Amino acid sequence: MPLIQLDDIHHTYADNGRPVSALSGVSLSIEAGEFVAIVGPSGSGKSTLLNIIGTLESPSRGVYRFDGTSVSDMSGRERAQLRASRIGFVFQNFNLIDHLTVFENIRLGLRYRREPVKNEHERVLSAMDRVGLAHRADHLPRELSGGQQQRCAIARAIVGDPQIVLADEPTGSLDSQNAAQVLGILTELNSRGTTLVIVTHAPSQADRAGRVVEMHDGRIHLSTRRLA
Amino acid sequence: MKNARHDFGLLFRSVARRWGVYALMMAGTGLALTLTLIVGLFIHSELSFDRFIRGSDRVYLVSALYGLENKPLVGSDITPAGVARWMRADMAEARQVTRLSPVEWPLSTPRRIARERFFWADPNLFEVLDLPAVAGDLKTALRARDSIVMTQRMARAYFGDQNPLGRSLTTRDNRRLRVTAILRDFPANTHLDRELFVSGGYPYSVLSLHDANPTYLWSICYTYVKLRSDVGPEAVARQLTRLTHQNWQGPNNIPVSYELIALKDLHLHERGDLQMKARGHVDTLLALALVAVVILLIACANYAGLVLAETDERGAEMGLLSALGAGRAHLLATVLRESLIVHLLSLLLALALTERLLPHLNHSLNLDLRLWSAPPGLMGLMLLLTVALALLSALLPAIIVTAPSPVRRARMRTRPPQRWQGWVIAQFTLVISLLIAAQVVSRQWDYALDSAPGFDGQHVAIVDLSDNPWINRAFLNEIRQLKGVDSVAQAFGAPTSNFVRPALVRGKDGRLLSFTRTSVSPEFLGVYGIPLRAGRNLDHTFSEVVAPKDILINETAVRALGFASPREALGHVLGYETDRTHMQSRIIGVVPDIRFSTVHYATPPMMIDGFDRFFTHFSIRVKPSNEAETLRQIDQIWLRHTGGTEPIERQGFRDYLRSQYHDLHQQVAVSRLVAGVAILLSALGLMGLCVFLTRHQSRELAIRKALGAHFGDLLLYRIRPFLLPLLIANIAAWPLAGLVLQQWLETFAAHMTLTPLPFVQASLVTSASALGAILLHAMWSNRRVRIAFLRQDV
Repeated sequence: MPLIQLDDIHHTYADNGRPVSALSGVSLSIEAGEFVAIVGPSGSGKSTLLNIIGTLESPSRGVYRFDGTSVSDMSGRERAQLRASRIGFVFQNFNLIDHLTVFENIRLGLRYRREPVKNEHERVLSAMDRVGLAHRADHLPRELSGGQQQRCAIARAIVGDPQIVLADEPTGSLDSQNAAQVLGILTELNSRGTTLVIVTHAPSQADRAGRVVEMHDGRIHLSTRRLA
Repeated sequence: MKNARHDFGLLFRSVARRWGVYALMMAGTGLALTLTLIVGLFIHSELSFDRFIRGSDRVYLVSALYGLENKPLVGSDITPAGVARWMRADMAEARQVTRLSPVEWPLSTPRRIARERFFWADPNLFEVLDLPAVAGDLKTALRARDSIVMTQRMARAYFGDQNPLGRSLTTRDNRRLRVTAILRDFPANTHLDRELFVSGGYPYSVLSLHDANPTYLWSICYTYVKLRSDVGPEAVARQLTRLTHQNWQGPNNIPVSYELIALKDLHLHERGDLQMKARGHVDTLLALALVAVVILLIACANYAGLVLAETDERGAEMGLLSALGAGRAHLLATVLRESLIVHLLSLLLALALTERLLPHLNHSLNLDLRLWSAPPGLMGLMLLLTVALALLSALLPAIIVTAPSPVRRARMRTRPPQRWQGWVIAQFTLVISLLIAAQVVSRQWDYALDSAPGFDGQHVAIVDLSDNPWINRAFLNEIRQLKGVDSVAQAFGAPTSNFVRPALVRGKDGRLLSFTRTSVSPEFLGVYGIPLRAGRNLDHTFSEVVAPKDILINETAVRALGFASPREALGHVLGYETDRTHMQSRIIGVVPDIRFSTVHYATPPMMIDGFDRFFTHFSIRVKPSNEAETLRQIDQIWLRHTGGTEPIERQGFRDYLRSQYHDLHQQVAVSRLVAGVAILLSALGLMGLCVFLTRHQSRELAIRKALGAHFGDLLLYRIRPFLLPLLIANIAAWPLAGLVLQQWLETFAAHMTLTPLPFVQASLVTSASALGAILLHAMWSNRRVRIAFLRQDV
């Protein structure tokens, strides 16, 4: 059973009262442990697709199953719980909370789980260690470099051991050296079994994915699986 | 002009885009201006009491001051009947002296029969009280013994038209009163409580009686004097005291001195006995003005908060204008002009709202506030206030959004919420205080109606006696037979009516004590469920003008007379001076301190006799089952015995009590209105603050949402910053309100005990409304916590 199963997904939003179609009949299946890169020009629907996979937005039409369970039938509270326990997010502009320290930002990844979290402190420390930020625990985001901020965001995404990490242009705001480091962490994460979906403009990053999904005008134009 | 047109255009486009924020702005400002307008109209009405009487600053009501053994003097609006006579005879400083004596008699025309309240008036009344007339010559209108002058309203009621000059009304003794002049209708803000004036020369008028019998001193008689322009009221008051001592022929209760109160100052003068209408209080007006100012400041800050919430967009707009060459002065003017337009629109909203509210307010509070006949000065003041408010509200936001450096602008706007917590604390302190005040005023009202009287007035109907004793006797005998009537008593006045008569009693230690006397039939204690503390009840009534053989006294009298217990007072023979004679009566029973006056007065030492000539009211206890039918039967019996010539004056005891507390009722209504507006405003302000905070937290809320926070988590996150300010506001408001309200309660001789309950309730209501406002905004804005915020640059 695929981890992610999208069937005939449509998504429309209103722009100044006029309906705009962001996705038109997208069907996609992602197996657990896959590394999928979504590429395409601006406005092709990549981020909308990622948001729907992450349950941040609901499709206007179509069926979305996460690990066999219909997301469309879930309440807002259940979708929030799904995000808290099984999905991790990494954004282009990091989205760290300014007034929280690195440690606190990372701990936020466990904050909204409904079940009690064992060894919370150790898990946060371990996540920090994995991204090489153990020495920056008490720093505020503004005291970190761009690369460090994104590593902090990755630590927050993985602290809860999610089944899937969704990354929306994770290296878009970084220089090449930091971008390589961040991509290395994500790839290493995937190699340990975490499903990874990234939206990217960079061909070099797409090349490292197991599958590349190319989008145009809200549709999947091409889905290419790389040979191992 | 061009700029204004441009600003209007921009504003309307802005309103269309952000109608929610502008609706909050105008609702808050409009509400505050409405309250200010109503408070302004009320204060103006209170300050212009009796100003419709021309020369009200040179016409004085003579107030007699009484007191014993250096105790504080008590003023009375009535004077001994001789005062006018002595002034006319021996005081050249008084240009004109005139008297009014209130009376209640049946009057009729083919159109209306009523037991009417009117004044006996001296013929020169209108030379002293210069009232506006619409027909007739007021100088001669009351010269004829059968003349009557009335207002247009009464003319319409009795004759159906406003100018019935020369037409007649019939009195209870079938004499005719001829209408000789018509007065313009009185405004509500006058101390005169009736609108008909019958010549004091009428054969049975109290004034004629006094003129014919110079030794008669006591009756309800209001004396007005117009002074020579070179004489001050204090000098005349001193001279009048001397004249009184020269001419006094009565017993000991002689006025200690007099005070001449200018009519223009009468309404706000300190409380006096037997005033025609309840007085106003300067303190109340000051408190209302202060509350209006604070409410305006809240609205002002709410507006500023909402404009600041728009800082991002406005800052970008200002930056663009600045890049195009606009100077900072121009940018400031743009924001201020927009504020002015919003405030002027809010003023229009306030005018419309006030126009809709005033009829209800006037009806429930017996006021006559009118918006469109308000003086131009007051409306001008409102306009100035609105402009000042507009500038004040927009000044801080204008400085911030037009700050030249975007960095500085960002720094200035990212300081909240800490900066605003102080404001939230101040606002909630005020709201909680006002709510506590409204609760306490309401409870004092309940106390006055339910607990203070000290007897059971439920299911008791009060009926005024007829002037015809045969009718009274027949009526009494018949209603006693009704199945639905439990018991019937007669009394001088009804409890809490202030109908009392003075008596001076010599105590055991020789001190002179001021007692009040009242007269009741033996059934009175049973009708009102009053238990005897000691001794026995009165066993009969009597009519002879002699000292009553037996009397009851109250517990305060027991203490004042120096007895250790009620039982010890029994059998004691009390010697006392009344207005005309020395009397001696035996104490046969002691009753608790039932209240024969309102809570404004302390319960005095009291003696109760059975002198039936003083009876003025029936008190009828009706069985609760089928009460309406029993009351209908009572009305029919009255109608049968009076032959329809005298309408029954009946009311339930509770309604009767309510009419005694008109001023307190006004305070209840005003405090509820002010508290309501304050809580609405604070809720609106809080919504504005939530909008403000949400704008600043939108990205953080979106991050938390992406990490799995659901609506409840985000709501808790939004509420948390307000919990500490709410707690501090409660800590500040409780002692503040407690102190002020305890002082207010002390102005009553009898008052409720201040308990924690109103404080707790006010805190709960405020907290609930605050949390409700946050919840409402959270629900409204939840769909706006969009994931798009996650894509914005930091």
